[in-house]
Amino acid sequence: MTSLQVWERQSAPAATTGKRAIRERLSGPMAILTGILVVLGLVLGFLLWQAAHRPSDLPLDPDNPGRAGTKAAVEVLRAKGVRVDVARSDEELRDLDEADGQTVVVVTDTHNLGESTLAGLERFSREARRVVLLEPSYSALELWGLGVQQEDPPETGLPEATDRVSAGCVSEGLSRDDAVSTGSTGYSRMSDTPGTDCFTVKDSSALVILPAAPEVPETWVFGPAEALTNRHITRFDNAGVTLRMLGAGDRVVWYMPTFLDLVEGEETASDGPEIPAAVGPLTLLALLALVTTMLWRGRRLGRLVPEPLPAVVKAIETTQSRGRMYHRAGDPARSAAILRVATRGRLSTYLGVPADAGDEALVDAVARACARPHADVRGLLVGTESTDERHLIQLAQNLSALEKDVHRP
Amino acid sequence: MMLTGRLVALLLVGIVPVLARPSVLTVWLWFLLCLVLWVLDVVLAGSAKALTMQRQPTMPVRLGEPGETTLLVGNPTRRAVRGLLRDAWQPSAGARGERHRVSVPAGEQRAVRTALLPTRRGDRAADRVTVRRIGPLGLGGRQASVQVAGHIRALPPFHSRKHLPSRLAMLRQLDGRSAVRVRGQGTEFDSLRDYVEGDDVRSIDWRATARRQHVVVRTWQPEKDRQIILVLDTSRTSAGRVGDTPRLDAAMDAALLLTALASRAGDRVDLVAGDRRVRSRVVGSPRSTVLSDVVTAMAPLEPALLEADWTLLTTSAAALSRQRALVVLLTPLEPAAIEESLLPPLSVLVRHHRVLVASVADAELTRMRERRGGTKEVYDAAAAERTLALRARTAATLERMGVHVIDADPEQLPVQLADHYLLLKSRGLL
Repeated sequence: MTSLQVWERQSAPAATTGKRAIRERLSGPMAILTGILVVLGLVLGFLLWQAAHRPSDLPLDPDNPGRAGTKAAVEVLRAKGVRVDVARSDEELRDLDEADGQTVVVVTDTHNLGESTLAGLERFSREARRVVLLEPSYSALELWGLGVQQEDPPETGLPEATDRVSAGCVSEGLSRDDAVSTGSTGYSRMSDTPGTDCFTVKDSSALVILPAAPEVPETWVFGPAEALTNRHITRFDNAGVTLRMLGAGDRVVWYMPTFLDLVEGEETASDGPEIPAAVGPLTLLALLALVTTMLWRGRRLGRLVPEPLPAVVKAIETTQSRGRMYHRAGDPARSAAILRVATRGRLSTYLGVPADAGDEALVDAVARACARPHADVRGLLVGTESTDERHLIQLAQNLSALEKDVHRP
Repeated sequence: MMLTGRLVALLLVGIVPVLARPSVLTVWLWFLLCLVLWVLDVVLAGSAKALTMQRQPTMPVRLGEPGETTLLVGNPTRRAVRGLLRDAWQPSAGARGERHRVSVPAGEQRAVRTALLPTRRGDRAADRVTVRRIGPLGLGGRQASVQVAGHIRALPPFHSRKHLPSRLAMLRQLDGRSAVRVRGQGTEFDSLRDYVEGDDVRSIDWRATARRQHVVVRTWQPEKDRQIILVLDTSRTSAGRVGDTPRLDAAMDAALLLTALASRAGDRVDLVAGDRRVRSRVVGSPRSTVLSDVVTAMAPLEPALLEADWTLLTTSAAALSRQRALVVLLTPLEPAAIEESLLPPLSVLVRHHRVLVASVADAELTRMRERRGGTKEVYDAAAAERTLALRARTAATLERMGVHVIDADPEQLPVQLADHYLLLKSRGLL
C-alpha cells in the first residue's frame, strides 16, 4: 500500500524571510497580551470619543442635524442674536437662570412630564414671555389643565407634512396668509377658555394661542411639530412662523423632559406602558448570541462520511411477489394444481414409484403407506374439484397431513 | 475558521455594558469587540494545514476482527501544534475513538492510532483527516480537512473453517497418511505392503506375493496435482440476501473451504470471479499461499446489478487448464438466468471438464411451503412450490448434461461441496 505525503511546506528553510521572522517573534504570549490590550484600549477610546461627540439623534432635538432634528431653526435663531439654552432634564432646567420677560420656553416630549417636573417647569416659566408646547400629548394637556383638548386629525387618512394649511387668524407674529405644513395632531379650546385658534380645519386647529394671565405666561399649543424639523422647515412658511414664534424675545430655553426625572410611583403623562430602554438592545444582543451559537454548534469536525452501499435484496422477495400475484389473480384452481403436483412429486420419490408409472400406481402406493381409503387419497392427489379459496386452504392442509402420514405412518 | 462556546459566553457578558448604557450602539460596539478578539484568536491560532500526514499501511483483517490504522502526523513548522484531530472513516469501517487530542512539538512527529472494526466485507476506505487548532484565547480557531488515502481490507470471515479439521481427517484416510494404511482408493500406484486381515483380496499383488513368500497387497494413492477451477458468479443473482448474508458471501465461504481442503490434498486451485467481465482472478498460485491469495482476491468483490456473461466466464475458466479439471460454478440456481445464458456455454465446457454447480438455497422457501394457515399463506405456499419445482427442473436439466448440482443452505453448502470433492477424489474421478 502506498502512503501519501499530503502537505509540503512550500519553501526550504533558506527561504525564510524577514516577514516570517517577525511573525515568529510576534507569536509569543507577551505579544498576544500586548495585542489584546492595544485592541481593548482602541475600542474603549473609540467608545468614549463616541459618547462625547455623538450628535443627538432624538426627534426635535436642537443638536440633531438629521432630518427629524431642529438644528437648522436653532442655528438661525442663534445667528439672529437669540441665546438658545437647551435643558435635557429637570436638573439642567433648574441650573439655568429663570425665565424673564424676554424668554421663550419651548417644551417637547411632553409625555415625559410628571407632576413634579411640571411644577418645576411652571415655576421656571412663571415670568416668561411665552411658552410653546410642541405637539403636547392628550394626557399632558390634561395634566396641565390648560383648557385645551386634543382633536382627531382634521381629515381622514394620514395627514402629510407636504399638505398646507393657512393661518386664517391674526396674532403677534402671524398674518392671515401664513401657511404651515399640516401635522398629525390638532387642538381645540374648551368653550370657557379664552384664546385664538389658528390654522383651523374643521374645528381642529394646528395652533391654539392662550393669552397671558397672572402667574401664567402666554401659551402657544402648536400641533405640527414636523414643521420645525430640518426636513420640512423650508416648506411653505414653516421657517417664518417658527422664527417669529420662537424669536419673540432675546432668549430661548429649549426643554426636553426625560422620563428618568420621574419620581418613582409618580403618574406619568405617557400614554402607553413604560418599556425599559434596555429591552431592545438586550433583544438584539440575544439575537446575536443566538446566531453565534448556531455557528458554534453547526460546525462539525470534518464532513459526514458517505457509505457506499452495495445492492442487496432479500432473495425470498421474488417468490413472495409470485405469491401476491397468484393471490391477486384469484385462480385457486391453478394454485391447487401446483400444490398437488409438488406433493405427488415428493411422495413418488419417497415411496420409490417411478415417475412414468401413472397416477393410479402412486395412489395405490400412498394408500398402502398410510392406510387410508383409496378414494380419499385419489381425491387429494388427482382430484380437480377445488374451485374456491376455502377449498384451496382445506386442500393445502390435507395435502400436508397426507405427506406427514406417509412419512410417519 | 470556527468559533467556540467561549465566544458565545463572551458575547453574553455584554449584558453588563448594555444595562449600564442601554443603547443599540452599545450592543454593536460589544459585538465588534468580540469580533475583533475572535479574529485575533483565529489569526494567532496558526494554520490548520501546517501538519504533514502520512498513513501507514493497514493490515487486512478478517471480518469481525479488530484492526488498527496508524497516522503519522508531522510538524515541519517552528511552533508546537496543539489541537483536535479527527481521522474519519466510512461508517462500515467501524472506527472507534477517531477524535484525538494531538500535541506535536516543532519539528517532531507523532503517531495517531484509530481502532477499526469493519462491519462489512471488502475494502473500507478512509475519508478526510480534519485538524482543528484553537487560538490562545479559546474563542475561535482554524480547521482544515484533507484527504489521506487509506483503506482497511476486511477479508471474508470463512465461518466454515470449523469444518476443515474433520474433512482433513477424511482426506488423510484417503491418501494413506493415517496410521492404518488402507488399500488406496486412488488410481496412482503408491507402494506394496503386507496383507492385513480385512484388505480387499482383489488388491493382492500375486506376482509380489510369489516373490516374497507371504501375501502382499498393492496400495494406491489418490491422484495429486489435479486442477480445480472455481468460478464465482458476482452477477445480479448473487445479490440476493439469504438470512443475513448475501448469496455471494455464502458462495465465498464454500469456495474457501474447498480451496483450503484441495490445497492440502495437493491439488491446484484457480479462481475466476466476475459477471459481465472478469473482476478477480487467481491463477497458478503455489499451494502454500493459494488460500490467502483467494481470500484477498475475493475480499473487494461486490454483487453487481448485471447479468452474468457465462460465455466469457466459462471460456476464461477453460483457458486455465488443458488437462481435465474440476470446474465448480458457484452460482444460484435461478431458472431464468441459467437457462438463458449458462446452458449453451456449459454444453461445451462439460465435454472437456467435470463440472459442478454449487448453489445457495434459501431455507425460507421450505418454511414458506409448509405454512398453510390462511389464504395468503396458501398462495405463498403455492408460489414456493412453483419456485422449487422450477429450480428442480433446472437442476434436472443440468444433471442430464452431466453436471452435478449441489443446492444447499448457506451453512450446509460448504460441507456438501467439500464432501462431494472428497467423494470424487476417493473414486479417482478428478
